Amino acid sequence: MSIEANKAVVTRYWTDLWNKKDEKVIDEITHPDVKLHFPPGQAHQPPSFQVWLKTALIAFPNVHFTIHDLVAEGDKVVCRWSYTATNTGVFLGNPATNRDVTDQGINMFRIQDGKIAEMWMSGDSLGLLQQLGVIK
Amino acid sequence: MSVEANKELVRGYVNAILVNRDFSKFNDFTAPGFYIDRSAVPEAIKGENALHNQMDMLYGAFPDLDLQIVDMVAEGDKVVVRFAAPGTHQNTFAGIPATGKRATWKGIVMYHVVDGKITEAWANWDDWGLLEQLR
Repeated sequence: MSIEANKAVVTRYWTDLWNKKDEKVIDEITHPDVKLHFPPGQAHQPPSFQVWLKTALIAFPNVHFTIHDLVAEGDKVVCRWSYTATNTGVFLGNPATNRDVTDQGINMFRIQDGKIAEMWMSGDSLGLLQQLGVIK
Repeated sequence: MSVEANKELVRGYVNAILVNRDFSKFNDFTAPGFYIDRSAVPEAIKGENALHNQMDMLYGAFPDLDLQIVDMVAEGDKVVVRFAAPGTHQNTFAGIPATGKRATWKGIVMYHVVDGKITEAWANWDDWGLLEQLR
């Protein structure tokens, strides 16, 4: 796979999975045994993309991502992203706050045979939890 | 500058400035106006003194901090580093007195390189996870 093809897979991850919230994209662009690496402090550490999307649709159904940068080399693609969302449902056991939140982060992906095999996530959980008033 | 040269520059910056904290070399690696956008911190870290203070605070709390480059991905004028930094909490950090606990701070940082100098960086460090490991 070329790095351009790998970038196209990662672009679909944000636009088709997260912005269009199309669950069937998960099978098209990720391996069944995809490995998700969360930093210890990530507020929400879902076991799969399926669970992740379900939680997001409850807690932040209008979440919308913007891709700021795509950097690719070999079998890796890195994306610098941000999102805006409104917390209109239960998140991590806390009732909806109806607050608007934003977050920004950088994710690293490993692409194998045209699908995401591994992902290292890094967002700003501290900032997110502060915006939701979970921590002050 | 080639991608390889950009990677070499970032590796040099990490070793000289972040690991050895030899700030006499700061201008060898960074352009005037250099800043770090830290998502968890509203104010960016701007310039040599701000970064120096930040590193003094961090190594003050974790004197044996071992900042490691785990992976690098580069293309065009961007270099991305995935870091892992284990250390022992030996002095007050973010108001938490020394616990003696081992903790690992993880982060991904994207560097923008122009004409052989780093002009800006976007840093996502797992600050919340570091604090949680000290509880």
